[in-house]
This record gives sequence, C-alpha cells and structure tokens, in this order.
Amino acid sequence: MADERIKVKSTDIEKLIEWLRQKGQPQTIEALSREFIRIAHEEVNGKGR
Amino acid sequence: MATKTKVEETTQDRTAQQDLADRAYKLLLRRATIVAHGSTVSAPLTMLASGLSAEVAAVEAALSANPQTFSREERGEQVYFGIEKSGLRADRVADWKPQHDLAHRLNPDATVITPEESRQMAAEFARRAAAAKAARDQAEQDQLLQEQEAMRAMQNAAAAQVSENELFAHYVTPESSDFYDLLVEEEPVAVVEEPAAPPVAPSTIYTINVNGVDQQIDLSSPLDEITSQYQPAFAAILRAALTEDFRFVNFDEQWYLDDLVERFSKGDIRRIKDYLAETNEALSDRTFLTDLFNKRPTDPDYEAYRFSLNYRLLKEKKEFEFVGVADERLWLTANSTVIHQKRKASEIGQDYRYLDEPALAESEDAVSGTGDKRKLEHTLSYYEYENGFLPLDRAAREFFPTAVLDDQRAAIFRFESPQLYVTYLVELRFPSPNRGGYLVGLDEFYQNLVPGANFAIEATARPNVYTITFNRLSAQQEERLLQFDERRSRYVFRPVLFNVQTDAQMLLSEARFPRLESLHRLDEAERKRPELVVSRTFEVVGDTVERDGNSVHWALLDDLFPAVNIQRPFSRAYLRAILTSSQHPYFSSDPEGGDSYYYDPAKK
Repeated sequence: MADERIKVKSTDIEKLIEWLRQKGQPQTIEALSREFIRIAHEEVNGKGR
Repeated sequence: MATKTKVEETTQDRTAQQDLADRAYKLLLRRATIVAHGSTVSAPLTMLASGLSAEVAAVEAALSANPQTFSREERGEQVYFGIEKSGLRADRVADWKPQHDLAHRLNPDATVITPEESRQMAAEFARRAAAAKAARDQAEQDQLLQEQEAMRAMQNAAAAQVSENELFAHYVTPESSDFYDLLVEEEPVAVVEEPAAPPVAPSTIYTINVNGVDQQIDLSSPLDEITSQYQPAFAAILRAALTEDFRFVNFDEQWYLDDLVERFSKGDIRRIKDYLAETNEALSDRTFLTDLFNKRPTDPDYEAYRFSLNYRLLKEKKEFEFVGVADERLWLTANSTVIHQKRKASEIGQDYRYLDEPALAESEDAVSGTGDKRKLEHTLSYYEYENGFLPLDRAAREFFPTAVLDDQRAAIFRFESPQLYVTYLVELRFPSPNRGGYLVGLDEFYQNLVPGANFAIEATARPNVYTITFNRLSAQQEERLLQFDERRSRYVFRPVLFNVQTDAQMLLSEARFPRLESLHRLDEAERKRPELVVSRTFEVVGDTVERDGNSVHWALLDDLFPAVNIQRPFSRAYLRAILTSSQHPYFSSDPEGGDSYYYDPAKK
C-alpha cells in the first residue's frame, strides 16, 4: 500500500487556473481550497490520484 | 502627413492588395519599436489577419505578392510573415560574423526560442521550483513518516483485535415477545442473502499536516466530510503552492491570476494620489472605483477591478500606504499624517515595548461578546488621558482586528460617540519588533473624562467603525484631581467637576496622593528607565518605615499602579515584574503579603 502526502500537483494548479478563469473574479483561499479538495476527491474516486 | 512606405514603392498588384500589404507593413512596424534596425520582425498570419480585420487568404495573397518586402516562414502549423526593420545597422554591419554575437560569446549552444516556448519554459521552471520545495518538505517529514509507520502498525493490530470482538458484541438476543411477533406477522420469505462486498481498501494512504500533526486522510470519503474536517489544512498547503507560482497573485486572502489583473496607467495612479491629497483622509478602494473609475458594485467586473486596484496600489509603496482592515480597504498617501500626536511614534512604541511580552501585556480590561457585538471595557490611566492613547494589550488585541498585510504599520478607525455626537479618527499602530502597539487619537474624547474613568468600546457591523461610550452619573462630583500645569511645568491638584463613572483605585485625587502636588515631570532619559520611575513613585506614594536599620519606602501595588502610570505606561504585571526582578535588588515584596512592596534606596 503506497503512502502519499497531500500536495498540490501541477495538474491541480492547471485545473485551479481554469476554475479561476471561469469564475472571472478573485477568490478567497477558502474557496480555492474547497475547489482543491474537490479536484483531489474527484481524482481519487475517478482515475486515481 | 502621409508617408510613402517601402510597400507603396514596390507593390505592383492591385490597389486593394497594395493597401492591405501597406497596412500589414505598418502593423508589423508597430511591433518593431524595441527591435534593432535591420532585424526581422514577424507575426503569425492569423494574428495579422485579425489585426487588419481581413480574411486570412486575402492577407496571405497580398503579402505573398510582395516577397521582396515580406518574408514567409512556416513554423509548425503556423505561417509567419515578417519584414526587416530598415535602418543603419544593415549597412554599417555588413561584415557581421556570428562569433561576434553576444549570445554566441556567452553561450554558443543557445537556441532561439519563440515567445510561446519562453512562456512554457518559465512555467516549467516555476513548476520545478515548486516540486523542489515539495521535495525538501518531504525530506523534512521523513522522520515523522517513519514514526507514523510504526504507529500505523500498532493501530492495525489493535483494529484487528477490535473487529474480532465486534463480531460478537453487536449480536443482541431479541426479546422473546418480539421473537414470536416476527414468527406470526412476517411471511416466510426465502431470503437469499448476497455476500457483503468486501470493503475496498484504498490503494494509497494519504497524509496531511493538521496543526503540525500528520493525520491520515481518506480521500474517498464524502466531499463534505473532507471539507469540514480538513479545509484549513488544505488551504495551508495551497497557500504555500500558490505563493510559489508566479501565475497567481494575491491581496490578503484573495487570489487571482496575474494575466487577468486589470492594468492601471500612471495617469490613473496620479488621479488617485491627487484625490487623496485633496481630501486629506484615508479613502477606501470602493470610493476610488466609484468616484474616479465610474465603477458600480453591480458591474460584473467590479470585484476583479477592485482586486486589481488594491493589488496595484500595494505595489506603489512609495506613493500609497494601506491602513485598512479585512474587507474595508483604506489607503493613505505614503508618509502622510492623519492624526497628530505630541510624542514621537518611536518614543510611544518604546514606552509600550513591554506589551511584546505576552505575560506583561495582561490587562484587567474585559472583552465580552463576539462578532459585531464585541465590547471592550477599559479604565483610563493618567498617561493615556494626557496623550490620547489606548494600549494594545492582551484584551485590546483580542478585540481589535489584526493587520491584513505582514508589513502593515497602522489601521485607521472611526470611533463614534453617541453621547457627544462626535466622531473621532483613531489610528491603531500595530506592534513592530521592539515597539508595542497602541491606539492614538482619543485625546479629544478623553477631555470629557478624568483619569480613572471607565469607558467602553463596542464593535459595529463595519469592521473599521466603533462606538465609544462612558457611564454618566446622575449627580456631579467635585474632587481635587491631578493635572499638569504647563506654565509652571509641574503636576498640581485642581478642583474638577465630573459626572462619569470612575474606578476609585485609579483616581489621582489629592485626598489619596497629597505628595504628588508640585511633582516635576521626569526628563526623557529618566522616563525611559521604568525602574527609576517606580523608585521615584515610591518616594511620593509610599510610607517611610524602618527596616533592618534602614529607612525604606513601603507601598501597596494598588497605590503604586495609578501613580507610576502618570509619566509612562505600565501594566500591573509589568510593574509586579519590576518589583520582583533580581535585577533590581532594592525592590522586594513584603513577606507579610498583601501585594505590598519595599524600596530600599540604600541597596541601590
């Protein structure tokens, strides 16, 4: 069983950039971290993180 | 005056095509402003067509018809057309050799890259830097991970034991009556139980640092569960990553993309500066947007514009200073003074230096309520009364908002007095190394009080607006209270009429402290030595008694405290720390207790 520390990968950054572009206005770190959690969650339950 | 270009001289085709080529030439020439004479300037065909508002095919035909002016080049799937910027270089450097080229001399292996490749490489460098940092962080955590391995092994062993026990513990024998009810009421149904699907063990165990402690996290848990439990930890990781990535920019806790930030011209910045100079007060970002940029909160780009404005003003540190709090972003012209004070800011900061030490910053002030119902109650000391200050002690720190920016010097508040129908501008000076924090600008309000008076500050729905109140007494009191006589340059007692609630322990009345009459103000060098201020206070407040054959001064802390606060600020904890410090053996606590102390001048 692999052990992995949660970190922000370059693909996560690209997705967050895309999300910010869609939003069209600045976002709080709280909103960004919620989106980051959603991305991580989706990756684990989809194709695997 | 129209200038005849090279194209007009050379184009032999139709007029429309010539016109198109001419416009293309001018367009390319506009891109060549920072390019040396004789260099080639090129642009993608699609971009040229877009810039000329013409069909791609038409532009290509027009430019291809003039090969002597436009060079054609294919880079991948893109077609580029270029021109040579005319000038002296081509004539003068006819014998140019590649070995003289600076790039060749510095790095002969250098290859030419396109702007797009440059952007990609920059992004790659940023990613590598972030990865390197992550690797460093990882290395630091290796030790912790090893310990966690051992811990997990123990937890797994314990969990295995628990599951065995649970097999039996969860089986409950039904009551006998229930048992028969079931037999009677339920139809006999042949239930074919499907074997329960074995729980899918996650292939990867994820760890996340929560408040300095590594915790395992199951990313397959419901999203809401992860968010509610780990959002701050994810935010901390993300904040670090975004700070490293040049594509993101932030103002306080708001983040945006650098390429989406609105650009402001020098003229825009000048208008803001002029507006601030004209009004001579701290103005909010919303005021600038409404009054100078004609933006309304209902505009779709309002928040993006607002962010961009704050981000830009923050970059102009020589011109502007941020004096706001979260969501109430106020700006001042740099180095301007809104609140004038008698003492230098550095001197006051030094006076309040003891507030740096949390144990000494303790206060008797009470903070109650939360959010916009917060309330701070304070008793005024003489030093605060005379200078219009309020110390940023433990209670005040809890009450007032923290600095938004790391290097923020001050925040400007509005204190409204509903009893006096007056609004005061108050400045909170945040603590800095070796300087304590305090609020300044309350001297006018304090003129309605006396030293020792109680007052309260209450928060409002706006984070930079507070109400300030005091308790009026129904009957007026008259006391001879301490005041400073500027003409005689001495402290004197004068009759004062007042009807505000006071703390009797803090009231500097003649009846209680008669020997304070005609007290001189200490000079600045003496005033800077707190132990000297304390010993001088012993001499005018304490009782003279015989101890071990010496004539010494004895005083209660409750008597010393209001009197030491005449010339410089002290907290009770700070005063007690000086009185009990081994650095000052001439002070000692009374063994009989009662929070009383001796000062023996002979031991100095």
